[in-house]
Amino acid sequence: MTSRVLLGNEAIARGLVEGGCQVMASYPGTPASEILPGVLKFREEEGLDVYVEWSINEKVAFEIALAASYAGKRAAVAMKQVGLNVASDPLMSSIYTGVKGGFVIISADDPGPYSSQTEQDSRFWGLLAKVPVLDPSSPQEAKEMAKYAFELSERFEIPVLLRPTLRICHARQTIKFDPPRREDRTAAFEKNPHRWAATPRYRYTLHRDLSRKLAAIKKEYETSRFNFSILAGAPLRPSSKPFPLGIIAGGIVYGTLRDLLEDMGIDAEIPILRIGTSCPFPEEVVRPFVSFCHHILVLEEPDAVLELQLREREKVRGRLDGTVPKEGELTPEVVERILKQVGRELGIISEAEGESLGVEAEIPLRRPTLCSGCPHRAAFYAIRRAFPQAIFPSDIGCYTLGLNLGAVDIILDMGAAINIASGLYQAYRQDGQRVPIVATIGDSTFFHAGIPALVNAVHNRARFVLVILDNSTTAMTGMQPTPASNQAVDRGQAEAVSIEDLVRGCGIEYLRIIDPYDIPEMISVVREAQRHTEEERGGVAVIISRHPCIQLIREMPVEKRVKVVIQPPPSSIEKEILKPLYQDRTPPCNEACPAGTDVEAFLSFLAQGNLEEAVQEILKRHPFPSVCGRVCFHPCEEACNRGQWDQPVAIAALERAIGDEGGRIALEKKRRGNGIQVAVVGGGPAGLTCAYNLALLGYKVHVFEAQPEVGGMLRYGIPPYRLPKDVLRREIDRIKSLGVMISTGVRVGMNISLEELKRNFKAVFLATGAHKRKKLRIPGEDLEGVYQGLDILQAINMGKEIEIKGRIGVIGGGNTAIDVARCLLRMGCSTTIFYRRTEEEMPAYHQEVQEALAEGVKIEYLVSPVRILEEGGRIRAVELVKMRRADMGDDGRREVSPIDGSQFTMELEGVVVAIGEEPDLSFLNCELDELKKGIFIGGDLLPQPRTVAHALGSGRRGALAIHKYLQGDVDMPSTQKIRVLQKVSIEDIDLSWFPQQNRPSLPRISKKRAARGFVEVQRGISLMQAQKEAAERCFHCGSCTKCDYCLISCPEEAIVRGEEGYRIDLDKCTLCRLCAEVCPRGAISMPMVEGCVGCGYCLKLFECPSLIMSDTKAEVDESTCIQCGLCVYVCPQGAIKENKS
Amino acid sequence: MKLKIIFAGVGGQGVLFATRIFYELAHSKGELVYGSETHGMSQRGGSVVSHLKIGHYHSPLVGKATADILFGFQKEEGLRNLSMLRKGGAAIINSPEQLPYQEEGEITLYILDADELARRIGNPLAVNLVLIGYGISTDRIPFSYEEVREITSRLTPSHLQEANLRALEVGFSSAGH
Repeated sequence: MTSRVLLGNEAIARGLVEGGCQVMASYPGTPASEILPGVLKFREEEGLDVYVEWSINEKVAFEIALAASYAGKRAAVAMKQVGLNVASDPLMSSIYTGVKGGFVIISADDPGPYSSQTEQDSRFWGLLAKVPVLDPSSPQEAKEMAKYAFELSERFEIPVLLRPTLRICHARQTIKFDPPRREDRTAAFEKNPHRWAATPRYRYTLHRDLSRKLAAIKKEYETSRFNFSILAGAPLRPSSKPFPLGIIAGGIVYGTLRDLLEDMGIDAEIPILRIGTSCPFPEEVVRPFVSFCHHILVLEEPDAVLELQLREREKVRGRLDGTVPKEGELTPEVVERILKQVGRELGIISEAEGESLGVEAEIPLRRPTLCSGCPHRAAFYAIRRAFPQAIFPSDIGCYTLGLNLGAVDIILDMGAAINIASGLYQAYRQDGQRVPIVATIGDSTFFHAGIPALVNAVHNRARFVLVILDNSTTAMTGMQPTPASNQAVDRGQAEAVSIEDLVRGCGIEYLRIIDPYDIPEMISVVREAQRHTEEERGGVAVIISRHPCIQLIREMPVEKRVKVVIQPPPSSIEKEILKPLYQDRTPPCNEACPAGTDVEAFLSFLAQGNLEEAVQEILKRHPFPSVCGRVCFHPCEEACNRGQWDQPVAIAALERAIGDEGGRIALEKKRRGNGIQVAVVGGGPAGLTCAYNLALLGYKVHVFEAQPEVGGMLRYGIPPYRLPKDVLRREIDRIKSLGVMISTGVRVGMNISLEELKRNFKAVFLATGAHKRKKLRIPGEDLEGVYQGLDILQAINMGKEIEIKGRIGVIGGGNTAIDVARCLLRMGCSTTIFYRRTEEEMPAYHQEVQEALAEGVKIEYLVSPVRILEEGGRIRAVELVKMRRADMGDDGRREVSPIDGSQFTMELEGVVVAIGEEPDLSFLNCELDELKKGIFIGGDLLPQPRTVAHALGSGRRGALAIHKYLQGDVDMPSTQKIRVLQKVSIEDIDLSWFPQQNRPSLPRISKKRAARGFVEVQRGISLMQAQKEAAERCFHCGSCTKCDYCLISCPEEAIVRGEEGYRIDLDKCTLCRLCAEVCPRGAISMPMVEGCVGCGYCLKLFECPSLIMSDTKAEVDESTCIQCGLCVYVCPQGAIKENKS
Repeated sequence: MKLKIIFAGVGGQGVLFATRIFYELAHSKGELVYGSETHGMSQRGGSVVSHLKIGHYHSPLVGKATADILFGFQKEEGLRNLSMLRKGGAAIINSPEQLPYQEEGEITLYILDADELARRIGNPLAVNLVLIGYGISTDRIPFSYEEVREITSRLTPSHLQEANLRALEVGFSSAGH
């Protein structure tokens, strides 16, 4: 007889083979992980025909093997104890139907527990399901019992349960081999509906049959070789003298007892009855033993199955009376303690006997961790980074260890993650609450019990993120293939079942497949998935996180290896210098605004739905939100970081909405009047803004305007289809409401002198604009039918009738040219713009040009008028010359020069000259730079672009300059946010928070309608749309929105939320810099030291076993590092770097 | 022969392989073996302990304070299991420094920086074999270096032969240094 050293599970496999097993099905887990491969191994070695399969779960495996038995073959199924819970339904029922071929169930219990969820005693199935149970004490005996189980099962046509404990499964022992039994029986199912398809009535009959079978088995057990009594290593013989103590033992404790009693030298004093057939209970074996001893101690694992079946309870000690602990494994130490306690009480052992020696070192057990390079680590890290506050239900597998990374909160049983997530969602939803839930489940576990759970979640409209951790294997139990593999356990072909097809088949609409090794992308996808759960028509979002188990590939492929190095700490670590700072930075929109508006601030109020504060924020800078929202060329949108992502935030439309909707909101109380008088000359946008700001500061302001009404270009230049006059009037009324005096029809230099103003006012602000029309300087310019652009616009804005019709040419390329052309079109003219340069160089706003073209204005580029031809003192035509592009001019624009001989004539009824205006400074008696103290200038008098926004900016700056001039530095008006100058770029924004999404389309009236009159072309968006745009699309660059993400991300809970914002508890802060790293909008400033600060963040929340802490610094353990490179992404201080040398 | 050995280390260190060398060796010499191993999740970097009893025994577990030999493939794991040693037992522990338990427990400590040696021969994963080689050199184990070498060779896949045997040798010849 040969022998070999085998693991307990392999010994069982050997027993199955020796018992003639023909079919075996299992789901991985102890003991199946080694039994099934063991059967396979012996099949190959012995040349046997055994069908072996890894089934999708234990219930399936049970039924597969059972069917073979129904067909007359010997079949076995192995599973962990919790697996038998899953398969309990067929277990209970199959006891009634019985079997044909021998049918053996092997299920292992886990006293301890060491590797599973419960310390249940599966021998209770013997009482509950009435299945005969065999309980081995060693691997060798487990092998014998497996063999016997087939025989017993077949003889009584009943399933038999072989129940080892984990300690036997993972024990290794010299095993004596017997030859295998070569079964050659063929499948032959005998129909018998009363048995195989029994209805309840026939079940009764089957139950009666079962009782008869059990009675017979009990009889057989009473003479079984698996039940025996022993004393001092020899069979116990009847003696006249009873023993003070006898022990009834089952399972591995029997072996422990034998060694222990021998070591303690009391094996001749205490007899042992070993019961290997727990159910049905062999009473006739037990009865004489019990009567022969004064006291009985029962030792069995993990519960009290034998003890409970004993009839004479008075003399029995065990778990029920507390002599034996109710929990945990009966290790040699525990058994020794029990023996000594009982032995001393009964006087078998003297008091002093046997004190253990030994050196005690209190070192905690090392907890298991995910392997270096484990893809689950990458996935968990990303999940937690994405939503630290989420609830994380998880499942059974290696990834249970995600709890070390703070990304697993709940573990229950196979497949529960999905149901727990669904249930949590429903429980919260019931109260109107929403909490992010990110569930994780392994690929194999998803197959096992996740599919019905997912269907249920979809059907009942649950919403959560499910991450299927697909590492292409059943890793924890030893790399068994999943149903997604095309390889069967015996390397034969299997049909691969696609997880993604299954997921879609469950009704999932959101599915992404991603390699978690790309951590940033994984974070981004998790956030996107969460957004899907929040959408109106959203649901469960599934991510398949796919990367092969690192144990499967053993090591990183050479080309993917990343050798990392941890940079040494900086020379000094000063918390005060290195700590995180909450400081608002300058968003590009703010920087771009010539009017100095804090764009982000008003968008932020709007986002919060606080219209009042949003209006007030703009009104702190200038009085024209409605006007600006319509006519500004919005450089803010040009600069907007969002433009680099999808489209810029529709800032102009939002400002307009705020201005229009909040127009009636009263101004915040202005300061108390100080009585100081200031004159403003020119009631255009610059002058009015200056007057407004001065009035807010408490000054008594008097505006002098030459025209009949104030407003300047806003009133007389910009056509009403762009700026309706009532909108302007409303905003001017607000200025007036501050007590600003306005005198119209007063031209300084004509009706009042500058000196007089200087005498009567403490300061004077000059903003008289640019009104002097530039001339073409060509022949025929003074003919009838030749007009100035501004004159036409002014006439239209004043409602004057103008006699102009037919074909009109407009000379120029600025906004005035476009405005005039569009106005003339509305008046029935056919208009052509002649511009001497190209389209790109045209100073008019692009959008205006497009609109003009759309409305029907024609534009000729690279043409210049040479002279205007007359007929009867009136214009007849214009002669033009074609231009060609030449060198760059001093102004950075390309020069043009005429092409000789390219002159041509166009017949026209009128020509409008719109080539610009310049300031008329004739009322001054000096140059601008010679003005006396106390006189300030703004608007178009300044060398700056002639835009409304620039005018507003200069008006405000002028007011502040006057304030400072008159009152010194004190008392400057403060704005909402104090910002550091450092500008925020798109790189500072965490784009994963911002799904790409177009800005709202801005409504306009039809072109046809537009061309028919002066109705406003551009319409506004609703306040609700505006709020949505501000809340969802604005990045709020560099500005804290109190999103709490830093607070919930901080691994040390060092961030405190107070009334005034966040505060850092420096005692807790470890300088890990995660907060600065995770801020979605770059609002936390913290230097990156690019050296290890010893914060331990990488060890805590990445928890790679190859990162170790030595003294004050993290280090790479080269002996275990597999160079996956994942940690490079993890360190927020940038200390972990790829070592490229 | 009667011998009880504890192998203690961390998942991934090859504790099971080390155990296997000894039970296969004992088996090949006609001895009975019985022992217990850690399988499952702890193999993912957690504490891993093997018990091995050579000779006629009824239980796979080594009781506290009864082991003859302790292999500690990692310092902490070795220290934690010191209490498994009987009076007069020997601990062979991989540690970069001497350990403070030497005087207290009537046991002998053999300390070797096996990590460093394994690194030095470019085989950082062979700490288990380096320490076994060292253990054999202490004369506390009733197997010869040649026997251990032969079994190791038999159990090692061909592409690792040279590296594994070199590790064993380095450990064995490190004695006295």
